[in-house]
Amino acid sequence: MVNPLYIVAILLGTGFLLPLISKAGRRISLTVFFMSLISVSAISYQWLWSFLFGGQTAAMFYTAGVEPPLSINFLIGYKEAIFLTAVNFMGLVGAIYMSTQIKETGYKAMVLFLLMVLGLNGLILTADIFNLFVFMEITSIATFSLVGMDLKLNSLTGGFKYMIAGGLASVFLLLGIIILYSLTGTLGIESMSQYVLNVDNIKLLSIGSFLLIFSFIIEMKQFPANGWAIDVYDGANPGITGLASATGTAAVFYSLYKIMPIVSDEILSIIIFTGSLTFIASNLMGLMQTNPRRMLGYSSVAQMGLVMAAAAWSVFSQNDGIFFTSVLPLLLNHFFAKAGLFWISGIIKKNDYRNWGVIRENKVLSGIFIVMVLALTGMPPFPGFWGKWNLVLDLAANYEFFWIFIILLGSLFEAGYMLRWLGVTLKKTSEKDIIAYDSYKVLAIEIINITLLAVSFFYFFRQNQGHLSYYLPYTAGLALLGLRSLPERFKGVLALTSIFFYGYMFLPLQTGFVFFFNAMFIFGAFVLTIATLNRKKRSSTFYGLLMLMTGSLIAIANADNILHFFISWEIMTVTSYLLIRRGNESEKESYSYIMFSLGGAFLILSGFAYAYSQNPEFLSFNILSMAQESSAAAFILISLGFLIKSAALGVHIWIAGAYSKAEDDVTPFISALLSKAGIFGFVMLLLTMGIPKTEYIDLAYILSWVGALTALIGTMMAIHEENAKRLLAYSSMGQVGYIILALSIMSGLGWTAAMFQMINHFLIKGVLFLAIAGVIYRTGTADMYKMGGLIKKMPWSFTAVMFGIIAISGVPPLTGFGAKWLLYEALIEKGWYLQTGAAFFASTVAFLYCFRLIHAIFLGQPKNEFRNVKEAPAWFIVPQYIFIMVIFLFSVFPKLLIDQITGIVDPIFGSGLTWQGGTAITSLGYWNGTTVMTIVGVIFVVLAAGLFIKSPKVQKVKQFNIVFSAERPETPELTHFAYEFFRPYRRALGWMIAPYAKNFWAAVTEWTLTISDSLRKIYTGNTQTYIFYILMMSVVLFYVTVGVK
Amino acid sequence: MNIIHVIGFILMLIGFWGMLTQKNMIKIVLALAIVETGLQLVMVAFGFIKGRTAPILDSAELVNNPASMIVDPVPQALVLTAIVIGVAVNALMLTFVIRLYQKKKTLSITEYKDLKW
Amino acid sequence: MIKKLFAAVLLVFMTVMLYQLYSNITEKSELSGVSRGYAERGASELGTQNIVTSIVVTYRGLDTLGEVSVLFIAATGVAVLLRRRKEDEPAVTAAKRQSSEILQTGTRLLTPIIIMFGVYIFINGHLSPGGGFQGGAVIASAVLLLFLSDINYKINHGLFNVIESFSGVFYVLIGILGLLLFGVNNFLDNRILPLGEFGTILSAGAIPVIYSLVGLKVGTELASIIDNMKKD
Repeated sequence: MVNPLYIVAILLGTGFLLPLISKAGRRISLTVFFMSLISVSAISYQWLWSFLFGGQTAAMFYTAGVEPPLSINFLIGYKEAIFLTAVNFMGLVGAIYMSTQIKETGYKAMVLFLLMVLGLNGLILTADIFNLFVFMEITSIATFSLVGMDLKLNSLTGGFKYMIAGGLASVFLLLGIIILYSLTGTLGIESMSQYVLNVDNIKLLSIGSFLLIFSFIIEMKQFPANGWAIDVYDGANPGITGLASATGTAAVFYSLYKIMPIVSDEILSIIIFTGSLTFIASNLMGLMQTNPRRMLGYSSVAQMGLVMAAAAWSVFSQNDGIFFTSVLPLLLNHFFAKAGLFWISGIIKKNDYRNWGVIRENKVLSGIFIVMVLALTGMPPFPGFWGKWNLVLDLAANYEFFWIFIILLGSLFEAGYMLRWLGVTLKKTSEKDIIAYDSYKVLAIEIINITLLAVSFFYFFRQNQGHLSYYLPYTAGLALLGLRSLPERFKGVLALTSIFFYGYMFLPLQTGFVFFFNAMFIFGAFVLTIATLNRKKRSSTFYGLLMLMTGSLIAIANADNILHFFISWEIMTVTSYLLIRRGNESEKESYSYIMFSLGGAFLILSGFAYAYSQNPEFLSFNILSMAQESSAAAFILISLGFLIKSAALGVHIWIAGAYSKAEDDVTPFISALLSKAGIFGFVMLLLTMGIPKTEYIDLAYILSWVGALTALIGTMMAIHEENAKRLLAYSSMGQVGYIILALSIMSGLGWTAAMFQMINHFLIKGVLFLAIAGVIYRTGTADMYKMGGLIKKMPWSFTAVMFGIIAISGVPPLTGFGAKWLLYEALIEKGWYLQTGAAFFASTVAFLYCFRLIHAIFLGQPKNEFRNVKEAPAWFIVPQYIFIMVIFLFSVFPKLLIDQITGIVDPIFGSGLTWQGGTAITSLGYWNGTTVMTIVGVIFVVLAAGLFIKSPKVQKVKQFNIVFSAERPETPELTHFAYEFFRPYRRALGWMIAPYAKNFWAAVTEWTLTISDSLRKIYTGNTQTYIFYILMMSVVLFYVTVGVK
Repeated sequence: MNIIHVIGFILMLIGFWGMLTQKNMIKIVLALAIVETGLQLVMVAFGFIKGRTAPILDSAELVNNPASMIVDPVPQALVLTAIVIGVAVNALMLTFVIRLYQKKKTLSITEYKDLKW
Repeated sequence: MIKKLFAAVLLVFMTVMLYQLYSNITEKSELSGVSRGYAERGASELGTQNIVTSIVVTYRGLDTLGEVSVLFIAATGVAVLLRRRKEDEPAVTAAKRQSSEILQTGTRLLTPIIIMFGVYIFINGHLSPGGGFQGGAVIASAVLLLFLSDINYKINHGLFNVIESFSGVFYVLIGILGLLLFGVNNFLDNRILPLGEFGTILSAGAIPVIYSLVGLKVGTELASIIDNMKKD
């Protein structure tokens, strides 16, 4: 093994020689510069390699031939090797990124760069506290100079602020070091951490350790003494900020981690407290930012707070494992993603994130950008996800629920501004701009991206050993993302084949609810994918995302523990967000969707954490059933998460926007399939946990009312919609409300009703959204008042919609009737009469919008501009009729479906339903689907025949005979008789659908932003204010830790 | 606990006061230098032992029994390093001030707050 | 005014904080820990008369190497920040006044003496108070004096660069020599040269050599910082 002191020798030697070498020409000096960076990297890789595979143990190298603590020594262990490798790797890539700038500035820039890398290496390697100070200064001074190197006003201002803060930090550091030295008589970190135990002067010891740690709190840019850092990130050249944000903080962090064993538990708590405060405060302030670099600055600072707190926690709880499973992935995630994003911002150079649509000019960069942002928001499979997951579970096992709350809330804030930024870049803007590409910069970013992915997969495999087969459903999606350049239709056929193949192979192996849901997901995805074959526009990612989303649904159903469930849940959230964002003008709506979904996901995670805290050994769902003490809390949290996903009343405001702005052939996936994920979640939750009994409140009763009111209000809102997709979205909300209501009954009959209703809703929404998609495809609008009279042009679509609304409204003979019948039976059996009333009322109201849908689009006067529209393409029609056939099958022979359901439900709740031939019998009544169908069919034939025989005279109404003499109304809606058709009802029942929830969430957003805005105003930009904050923070924390005596 | 400590701490406080109240950037840099000077005095004072001599073994008596006759040499060595580093930082800071002055022709710190919030 | 008030309040709190620190300091009566080791072993092990020097150059030699690097970075940083670029407007050169006769004559008289004094300080670093940094600073003060007395004085950049580079590189090489001669734990060991007779100039192994190199390096670096700052 190469002595790590050679790292110092190589970097310093090259640095000292470069002034002379530069005389021989720029090319030679550049070669020498890169050679020394490469050789230093090679030394660290060699160490890491032998730690990973060679069974190397920690090694110590001391200087001057004298053993420590008399001499300074370097210590290299597994952790050091990891950090060295990361820092030197990033240093090399950073040099590539900055090579143009370095070349321009000359050899002096190379010297500064090499010595900065030297400082970083020294910080990681040294085992002597004063030597740590020296390397800290080397790093800082080299960084200061590099920051100011481009001589721009903002760089210089930022650099000056940085130096002042750094100067104050060194004052505290030196004071701390000298106090600790005077108490322990040593400067070696190792020996110091032992000698502090024997110190009598406890008071001075705590003052000394406080000062020491406080200087690191400044160096780690902790709130509120960090305004200078954000200004540096904002003002300086992105090349150097990216590098400093990654390597600088990593090395300083590691040196802080090294000295943590010296200080007492109280001081560790201060670190945890400060770090968490920084994490949440900085992310909150980030919400108001429009400048991407400043956004990244706030995010950097926040991440450092989190990593620092997590590391202090690992030392505090004496759990070294958490360092590797949580702290390191969190840090590496930040390390690569932040450097990459800063560097991308050095290419795009837009100071307002709203102008970042221009990044789509470059496919490679925009792809990398998506990866980095998702990594930073902690999505799977990036290291940040594993870090947060393991940290949250570890905190839960120690009952530290407050910290979990802080972490999740801070993460939500961070996702808030990062995803807003991402949203802009997902869709091309009209703005044409030429980006000056520097091929070195792009190369560096690509290297970082590949490394980030490699690290992600390392953690993925590490965390999932022995569970890899669980991720099988995702393979098709990943493969399609890889095959991005194939023709669109070919990819569609591949997708169909893969779904079919998966169903054929694995469906027969499954039983129970897993089978039931999977059958629905696989069948539904297969049929709905047919419609996407109509696509003509090429897209490199559409089928990949679609299959990933489908895969995630299947994987959610397959999940056998909370980790798998949560991962798939997150993947589902992200992929569905990316799909919805593909729609036109969907930025706002998709943003609202992802924020609600993430909020829901975090609620689910915290609920899992609650349950996990009771039995911290297991990850399986059983922990939910075993969670006794905290079961009500866990239940409430998890079910809130699922309620958000199901768009229950109060958290429904995202639904109409997301459904209507998604592409027309994507909406059926979301409504028919994706909304069932929340239902599956409920099934899983109720099966394991039941509905916990609490002393004061009856959760089942509350849940039933949430379901009933969702059904009622969703329906009420649907009737006032003018946009067909929004109407169907609210209809979906209402229908899912019934399912929740039925589930909350917790009886055999109730669950049978729930499952029956779910299948019903799945089939109908598939039909209706596809039919509407076909209509929109031909007419180009979803506004119903712009259509009318399309019955003759689109008879197939008309028929499909007609069957759809018959089934949805719950009248005989189609499946909807069976679903409602079972639901009412179950409700009455339970004795919930009021809920029955609400549900009944809602289903009556549903007639209104059903009528509207068919009436406004297909009946009435045809519009002039749609005189020549054709029937929707067969790609839309075929899947609709496949669904309709299934509807008819289940309507005539409901036993086929109900037997499946009762086969699963009865063993759990006992039987609520018996069969006599084809007749279903409950305690309250009976239903024979075949008979009903026959009777209705006969009546239909009789009436139709009567009508036909009578053949009433059809009165032709001229197109504009409602129009006053020679006047044509300006607005199209006024010529449509079905516009605002149900306005009269609004007078009576409008209070029910007043936008309470919308106003509430608007207020929440407004308040959050206001707080964010007033909070960030503390960073006045005045260096003196920052000095004040630093000193004030020292005083405040001093009195908190040391106290006044 | 001796008078040098007191002087050092007072110098530090004076420096802090200067950093908090002076608007001129050069004065702020000097104030930080004063803080550092105070700190260096404090550091040396930590090594002081009453009645002992400097750690230079220039007499036989000292060579034979150094441990009971000299003051603590370590803080002196550390201070030496700290002073040099302080000088380097101050030189660089003043360079920043020079460049900043060339940009806006003013030394007032309050004029340099384009980066904020 | 408000700002001063805030500052005053904060300063009161800081005073209390530092007072608490002060009041808890206990007077030292014995050497403890590493300092006892240095005192007892420094002379016999490394052959230095000045214990502080043995700590600075050898026991904690890595600190000193770092310290030299810090100064080197600062000098480079100053040069980078004050470099002239094409787009910079030419500096307005006001007519400079000649320095006074007294200063000019004094400089001529003093410069060699100051430089000699600087060299004396760093060569005797292992025997008496002083060393490379102090000596280097003294040498740089001679250069400063030259700048003050002669407005057109220019330093020989080529020579300075060579001295600066080679003194730095040799310092590193001496460190590596320890590794090569003795083993992995002997970076910057001063015993690569014979320790010589205690208390004489040629004693303490490589320490006088290192201190000379440091003195040259520090002197040239500080001089070039002054040179750079003078330009603008």
